[in-house]
Amino acid sequence: MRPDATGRPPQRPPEPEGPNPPDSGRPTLPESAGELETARILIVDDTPATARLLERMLQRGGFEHVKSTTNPLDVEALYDAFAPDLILLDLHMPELDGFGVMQRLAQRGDGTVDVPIIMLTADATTEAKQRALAGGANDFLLKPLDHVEVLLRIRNLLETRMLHLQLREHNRTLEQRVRARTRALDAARLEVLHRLGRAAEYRDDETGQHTRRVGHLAGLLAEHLELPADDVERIRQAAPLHDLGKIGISDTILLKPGPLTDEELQTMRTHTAIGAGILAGSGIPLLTLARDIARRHHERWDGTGYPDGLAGDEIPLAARIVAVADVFDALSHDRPYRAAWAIDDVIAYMRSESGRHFDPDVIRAFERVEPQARRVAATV
Amino acid sequence: MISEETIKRGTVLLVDDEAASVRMLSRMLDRAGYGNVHGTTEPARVPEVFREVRPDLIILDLHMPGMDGFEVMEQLEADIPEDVYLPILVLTADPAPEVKRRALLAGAKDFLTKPIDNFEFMLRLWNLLEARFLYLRLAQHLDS
Repeated sequence: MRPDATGRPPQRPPEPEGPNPPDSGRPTLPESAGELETARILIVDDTPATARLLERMLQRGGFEHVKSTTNPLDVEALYDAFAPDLILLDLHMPELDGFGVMQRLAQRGDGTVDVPIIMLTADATTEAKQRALAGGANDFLLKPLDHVEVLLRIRNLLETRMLHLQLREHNRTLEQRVRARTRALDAARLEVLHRLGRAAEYRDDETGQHTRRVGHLAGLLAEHLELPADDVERIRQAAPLHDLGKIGISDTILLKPGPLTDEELQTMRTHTAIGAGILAGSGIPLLTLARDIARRHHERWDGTGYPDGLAGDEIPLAARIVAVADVFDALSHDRPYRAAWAIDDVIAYMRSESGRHFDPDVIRAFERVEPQARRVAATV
Repeated sequence: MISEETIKRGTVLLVDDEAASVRMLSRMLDRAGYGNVHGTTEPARVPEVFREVRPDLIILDLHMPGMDGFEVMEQLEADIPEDVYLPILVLTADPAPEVKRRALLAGAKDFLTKPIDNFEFMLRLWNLLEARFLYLRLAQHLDS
């Protein structure tokens, strides 16, 4: 219900005196709980006298916003402009009868009019009442109109509408609260993931810059591959965990300042399986994606990668993206076993590996983001 | 927002001094699928029965010897706080506007004229119970 702009206190009707209170000619009804009198009521009756009579009844009953029309063809426009809380609708009208009006209103939007409708009819047969209700009316009033009955039906339906609106508002608030809580939970989950990523890289990437840059570049690539926004965001968040498995590799291998022996290399390669193992078995899509990336980011497009030698589309797309981001970032920065390459050399190498190490589609995306990639590479 | 199932689970209390009338209304409700219907022919016992069955809606005959519907509503005032939506539907054979007005002032939400038209009875019942359950749901929301 619309708030009472005037802020006036509710007016209590006078208490009846004795068993038969004098009839003042003014219909009085007990005050209702809310500010029902501020409700907007639309009267539709082709007989001007009836429309006027109803208008007067409602105004005397305390309703402040009453509009009437004798032309049923105006109802749709009035429905939009006046935004009624309730409609009093005559059933028998030439051109367009009450059923026709309800049909037109019902055809709009979601198919149901959630503004209550009271049908006005002289036809007291059950069949007529049933038809009116089946057509979308919530109640009916029989002509000749009884003013007590008119105000009472209106009040009851407005009360129901008010409760509906309040409940809807509460549900909305509740949903907002749930959404805010979900966001907070997601943020907390992400933060833990980021810190987990940092922990994994701490020994050879103290500042966590590598993992962050890989996440950033992987996100850019996903964006330029025109993946849905949700997937892009997930790849951005999951990519930094690609080397999580390094947590299980000893310092002597991980930090060795020179080439690894074959045996050391085999051990080093187990970081894909270790990472996937840590991330496995989760129902959270982000972690499942992170698991795929951890396990598959050293697979190569031509099938010569590890751990399983998967090729082409067998490798999850997210892992193909991270492979590009990871190699690009590794080559353009110093490593314990070699110095950084010149950026032009790195880019030339990435291109030359299209269709060999890398998915050609991802390299095409990489070429489109080259300026940004250069900037990412230039950051420490 | 309120399902038919919920509405038909509503607890209805019938108050009419004529046993035949209570029986007839009970039958109408039963046929319509309302499963929680209680009736009494003793208006003086209404507060007691009210506390026992905790109705969602009261159907009250206005004209009863001994204690009429107006007095019953007065008696119930203590049990129905002002901010609680517990509708009372009154039955009357007298369609005079003054009677209706008095009943509404006494706390009734709506009325039905005897002899009772089944269709109108069901409609009033439905509309009032819908409002009752909306009110209950809202109250629950505000509590939590």
